[in-house]
Amino acid sequence: MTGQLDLTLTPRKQFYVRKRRIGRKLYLIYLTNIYEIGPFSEKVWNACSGNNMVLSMVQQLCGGFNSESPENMETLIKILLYFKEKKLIQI
Amino acid sequence: MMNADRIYQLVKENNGSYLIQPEHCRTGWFSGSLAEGIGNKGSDLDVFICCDPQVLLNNTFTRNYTGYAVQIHMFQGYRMDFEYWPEDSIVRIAEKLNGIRVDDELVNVLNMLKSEEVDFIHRLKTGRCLFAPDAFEQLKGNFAFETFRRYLVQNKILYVDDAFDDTVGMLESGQTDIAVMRARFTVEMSVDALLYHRDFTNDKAKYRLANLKRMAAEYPETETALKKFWSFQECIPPDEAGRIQFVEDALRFSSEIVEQIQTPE
Repeated sequence: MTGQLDLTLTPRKQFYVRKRRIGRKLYLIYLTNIYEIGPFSEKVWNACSGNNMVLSMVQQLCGGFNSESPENMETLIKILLYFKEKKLIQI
Repeated sequence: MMNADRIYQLVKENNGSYLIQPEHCRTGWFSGSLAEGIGNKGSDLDVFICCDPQVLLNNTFTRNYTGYAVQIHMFQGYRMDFEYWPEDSIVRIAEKLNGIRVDDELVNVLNMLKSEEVDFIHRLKTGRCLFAPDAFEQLKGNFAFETFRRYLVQNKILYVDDAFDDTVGMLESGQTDIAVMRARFTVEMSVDALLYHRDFTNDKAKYRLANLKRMAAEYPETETALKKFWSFQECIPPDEAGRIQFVEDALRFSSEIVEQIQTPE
């Protein structure tokens, strides 16, 4: 467990959410709920295939556990928890 | 049935004898399903003529429409439609197309082009010249066909979005059977967007499957899309759980397609 998330979980996009690119902006849309997301959130979203463990997302997207980049494990976990809270992913 | 090349040659050799006021016909082209190689024994031969305005004013036609007129003949057992379009009407369509700001996120492109305009542009884009090749190329040069392709994709994604959200709403309201039908429509709109993305701009629903097969033959990586599309046409599960799964799979498939289209190259 890290924070509030088990690293062996495999998050999956909810089928009812659509990702849309409008101009230069990117959105996740669930009926009338619209969430603008940035490039790193998009990478996290794309990785939510239902086959990727959070652990492997950390390795693939954050360059490991000790990255000092803003795109680190803590940020990734926050994004996943946000997606979960908004019912955009099943986890 | 004759192949597209043979039909084209026959039409090219014989169209002159059917022309109304040929001295006012600037160029002509053969187009339509038979020209594209997706027609059948019941398909018409379609000939488009760019003419001077007086051709429409001074003659009687089988059918008159806003901006153009059609004269119907029988030829070699086929119905042959000659569509006469005055050059100014054609230029107006080109200007309308070229003015669409497909990159502007503040512009809603929904149905900016009328269906007959979309059809005309596609027919010109895919047409094969019958006479006056220089005038034909000059006419084509007025049209931003890349804008056309991108407009069709964006317009169709708006249809996808509408159908997608309908489907979700229906499912969440417990209207599973209706959601299944809407999910299938969502899939149809999604594969249309994929076809347009790959520059298959024929917008006739009746040729959707034929076009998907052509696309799969030309772009093998799209073969999966053809197979999945077909799987949603083959059967609708009889039970509630199966139908919910059908909807989920259909919407996931739709998302895959649109995300693929919208991924920057």
